[in-house]
Amino acid sequence: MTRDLFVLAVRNVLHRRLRSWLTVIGILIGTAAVVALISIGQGLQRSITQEVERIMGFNTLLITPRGPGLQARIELDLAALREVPGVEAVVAVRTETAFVQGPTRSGFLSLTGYDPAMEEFVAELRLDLAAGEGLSQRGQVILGARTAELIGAKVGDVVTVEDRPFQVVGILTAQEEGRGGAAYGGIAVNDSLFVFYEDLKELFPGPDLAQYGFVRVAPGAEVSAVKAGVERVLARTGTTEAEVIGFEELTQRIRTVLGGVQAFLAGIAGISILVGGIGVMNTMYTAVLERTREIGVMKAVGAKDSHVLLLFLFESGLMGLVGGALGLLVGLGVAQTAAVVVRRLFQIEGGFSAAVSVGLVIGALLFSFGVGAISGLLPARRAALLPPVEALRYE
Amino acid sequence: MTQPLLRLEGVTKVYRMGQVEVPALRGVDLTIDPGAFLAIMGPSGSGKSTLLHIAGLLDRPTSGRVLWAGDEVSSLRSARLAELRGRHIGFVFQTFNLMPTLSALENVELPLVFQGERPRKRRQRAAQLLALVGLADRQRHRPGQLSGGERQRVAIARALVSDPQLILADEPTGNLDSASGREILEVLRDLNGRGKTLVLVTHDVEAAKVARNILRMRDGRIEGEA
Repeated sequence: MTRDLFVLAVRNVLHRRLRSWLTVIGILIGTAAVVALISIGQGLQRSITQEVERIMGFNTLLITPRGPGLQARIELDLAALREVPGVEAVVAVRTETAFVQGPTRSGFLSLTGYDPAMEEFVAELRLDLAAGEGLSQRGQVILGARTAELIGAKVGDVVTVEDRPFQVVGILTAQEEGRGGAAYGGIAVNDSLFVFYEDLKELFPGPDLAQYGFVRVAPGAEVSAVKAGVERVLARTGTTEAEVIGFEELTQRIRTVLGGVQAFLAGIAGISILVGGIGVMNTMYTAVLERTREIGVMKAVGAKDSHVLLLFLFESGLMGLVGGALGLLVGLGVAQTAAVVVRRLFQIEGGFSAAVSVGLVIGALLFSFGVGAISGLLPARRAALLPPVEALRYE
Repeated sequence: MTQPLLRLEGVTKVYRMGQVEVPALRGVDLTIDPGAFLAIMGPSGSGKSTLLHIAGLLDRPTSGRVLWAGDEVSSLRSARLAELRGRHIGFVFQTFNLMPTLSALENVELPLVFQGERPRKRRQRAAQLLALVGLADRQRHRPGQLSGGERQRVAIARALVSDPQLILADEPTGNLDSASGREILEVLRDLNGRGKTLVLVTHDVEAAKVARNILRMRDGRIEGEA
C-alpha cells in the first residue's frame, strides 16, 4: 500500500506540473549552491594540502613571522637552532637591497641569501637554472633572468655587490610574472641575485633578520619534540615575534580557515534551501486546501489519517528529492566549471579540481528529501487530521 | 430476530459556530435492518445529512449511542472507524466526489488500495463493478471525460467495490438530469434487490419512492414514516 500511496503522490505532483516545478526549482537552487560550494571547498582543501605536502613534507618545520605581512622579519640565531637535538639542518632566507655593479650597468637590486641545501628538502625553493650551475662555494652568485639582462652579465663574469666581487656561476630561467615569488617571501626571482646566506650576513652585518627559516627534522626524531626545542631557542634569543609551524599544523590551519569560510558560504547558501523548504510548505498548504474534499473522500472510502499523512509527505518529499537530485547535478557542474576557471586564472600547478565525495552526494540527496518531508510535515498533518465530514463539506 | 445492522439510540449532534451552538440532531432513534431500503426525506437543515454522516461513521454524535452490528462504535479511534467505513460502508454523494487525477477504474479501486488489497485482484474487482454499472468501456476515462450520470455510476461502483453491507446515498440524483437520475435510482433499487442495505437521503419525492420505507425529518427529529 505504501507503494500505491507513492504512485498516487507522484501522479498528484505531476498533475500540478507547473507549481511542482517551481517548487522543485526552489530546492534545486539552494542545493546546487551548497553542493557547488562544498565541492569547491573540498577540492581546494585537497589541493592545498597536497601542495603544502609537496613543498614542505612531513618532517619540515617552518619558522615564520607571526601574523600577516610579507615584509615582516625575524631574527634567527641559526647556530643555536642547529644545536637543538633532532635537528638535521636549518636554513633561512633573507633578502636585502644591495648596490650591484655589472659589466654594463649598475643599480640597487634585491639580494637574497639562501642555502642551496634547502632546495633538497623544500622543493618549491629549487632555483631553475637556464645556464651555468648552482652555488658551490662562497663568493659565487646566481642572477635572476632580468638582473642578468639588466647588468649585462653572463656566466663566468664577475659582478660587484656592495664593493665585493662575486663570480656569476648560474643564470635563472625567466619566471612568468607574478609567479615563483611567494616561496621566496614575495621577492621577484627575476629581479634578484642569490648568494650564500653567510655571504649576505657578512655584507650586511648587524642583526640577522630573515624572512623565514626552515628546520629539517632528523629521521627518527619526534617532530613535536624538535618543535618545542626550536621554540625554546627562539624564546631564549628573544625572537618572540616568530612562530614555528609543522606540516600538520599548517594544513590544519589552512583547513580551519578554509573550513570556516566554507561553512559561512554554505550557511548562506543553506538559507536558500530554507527558502526552498518554505516554498514546499507553501505549495503543500495550498494543495491541502485545494484537495480538502479529496481528503474527505479518501477518508470516506477507508483511508486512515496515517494514509493521508503519508501521501502528502511523499508528495513534499518527492519534490524535495527531485530538487535535490537536480540541484546536485547542477551544483557539481558549477563546481567543475569553477575549477576550470580557477585553474586557468591562477594556473595552479598541482591541478585543482572540485571534489565529488560519496558523502556529499548521499548527504545532498538525504538532506533535500528531508527538507521536503519536514516542510511537508505541518501541511500533511493538517490534511491527516481533517475531520472527514468537514473535509467533504468543504467548497 | 435478526441483529440490526445499525442502531442509533438517542443521538444528538450540536455544531458550534463560534459562540453559537446549532443543534442538528435533537435525539434520533433509528434501526436499520439488513436488506432494508430506507429513504430519509426532509427540508434542508432538517438534519438528514448529519444523520447520514453519523450513520456512515464519518462523524461522531454529541451524545447518544451508535451501534454497528451490535457494537458501540462512536468512541472508536479514527483509524478503526476508517477501517469499518472502508470495509462495510459505501458512500454515494450528490457531487460524485471522484478523484479527478484518477481514471474511472482507479477511482473504483481506491477503497481497496487503503485496505491493502493486491493490485491485480483489486483491478479485476473494479473492472467487474464498472461492468455491472454499465461502464465497461469507460475504464480509462477520467471523471472529467464522463457525463454526470456516468460519474455517479462510477461512484456507485466505488461504493460497491469492498462488497459493503450498507450503502449510504446522499442526494445521489441531485446533480443529474431526470433521465440520468432515474437510471441511478434503478441501479440502487437493483442493488437492494440483490440484498444490499441502502439508505437514501433526498428531498425529491420521486426519488424517495424507490425506497421501501420513507422517514420524514424536521428540525433534527424523525417525524415519522410517510
